[in-house]
Amino acid sequence: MTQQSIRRWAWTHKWSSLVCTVFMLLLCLTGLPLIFSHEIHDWLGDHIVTPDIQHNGTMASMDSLVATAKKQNPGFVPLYMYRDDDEPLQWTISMAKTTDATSGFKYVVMDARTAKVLGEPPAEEGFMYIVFKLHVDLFAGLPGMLFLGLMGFLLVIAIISGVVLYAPFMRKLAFGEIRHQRGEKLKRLDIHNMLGIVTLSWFLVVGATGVINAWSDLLVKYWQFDQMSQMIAPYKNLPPPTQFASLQQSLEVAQKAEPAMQLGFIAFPGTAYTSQHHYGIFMRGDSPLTKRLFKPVLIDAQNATLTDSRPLPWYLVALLVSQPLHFGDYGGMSLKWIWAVLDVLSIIVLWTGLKLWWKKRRQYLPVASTRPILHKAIS
Amino acid sequence: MRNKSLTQIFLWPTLIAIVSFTGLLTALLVDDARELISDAAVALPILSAAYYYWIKPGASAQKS
Repeated sequence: MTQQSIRRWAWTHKWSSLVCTVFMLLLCLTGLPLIFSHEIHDWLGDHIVTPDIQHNGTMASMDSLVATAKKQNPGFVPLYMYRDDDEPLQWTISMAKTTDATSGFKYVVMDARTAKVLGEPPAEEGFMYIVFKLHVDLFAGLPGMLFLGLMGFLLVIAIISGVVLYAPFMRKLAFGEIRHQRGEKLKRLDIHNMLGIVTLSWFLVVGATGVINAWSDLLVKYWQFDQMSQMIAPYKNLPPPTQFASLQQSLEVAQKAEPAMQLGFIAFPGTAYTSQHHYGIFMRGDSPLTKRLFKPVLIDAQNATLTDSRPLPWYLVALLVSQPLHFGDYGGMSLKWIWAVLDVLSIIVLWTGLKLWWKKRRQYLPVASTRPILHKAIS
Repeated sequence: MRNKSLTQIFLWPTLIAIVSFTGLLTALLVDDARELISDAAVALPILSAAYYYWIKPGASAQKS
């Protein structure tokens, strides 16, 4: 590499990192508790337990679950119905005043066997909610999400330019060598380089999947425009239904259409994942990978007949596959701890990088003859 | 030390990157005992960082 191209890469590395570092530190710090959000919720006592009761095995009808939720929160409409992998005997229905609400949500957790309300976990409050919002959109909605996505993109550039710059710095050093005895500055540089290069794959994957996630709202909107509009074309000029068919019956129709799959979640008419005229029944597979890949089955909400069902387009498959790779929630507890340690290592890379720049910046000012670290490395 | 070639510089980084990336992906596809192997692959960066920070300097200091 010529001196000039090294200087160009150094410039790219410096500015792409500098712009995003503060936000990346925030994302790494807020990401740390989010890795364990399930465990922290349990620990905070937010977790609702399924009671141990005598039961003959038949599950409550979906219709009675919806009726119970509506009775629990008069004036609210159901949005989505889903359940936790760990609590197969519970159903949660999220509710709001309108189907397009962006806040004021309620979550009714019910017993799947008896349709009794088990509780309503706190919504939009508490430590984990603040951490989550800071991590996802800085409390700024879609613009905040896209902004963090842009910062993530800069991180990806910083990582790639960092790998290119790794070569001139390592020309005379053995892999992983840390010069402990040669002063703070060189030690810091060596730690930055070593940690940066060994965490490369992980940081790149988590960064890139984070960027994809930042686009999730827009991808769903595009899917509506691209595929949903075709699927519901015959309903285009019809007024929204006033009478709704049985949800249980609709679910059975969906199950018949996809006998090999099982119910993932239900989107109620009017929400972002379906149309005003349909129950969006999202079926999923059973293997570690296919259980994340949903297949929407649209059931006419007025007469419980099948309207259409088609596999997700590639961009939503990409989104759904990228999510676990960002969250680290797809293995066991051991993977979560590995995720946490790698997250801390990334914080050290960011911090040492920031400090290297800060010290060098001060060095430039008084004595022009003081040679910056980069020159030392390439001479 | 003599100047290292690009291959020498990037040999270990590439190996670690490939192994940990493979671990990230296989953990997504398997759900049983094989998970231990993929976890170990994902943890490789941590192990190598710990080795080079704590163990290696002590070992080479003793040698000299």
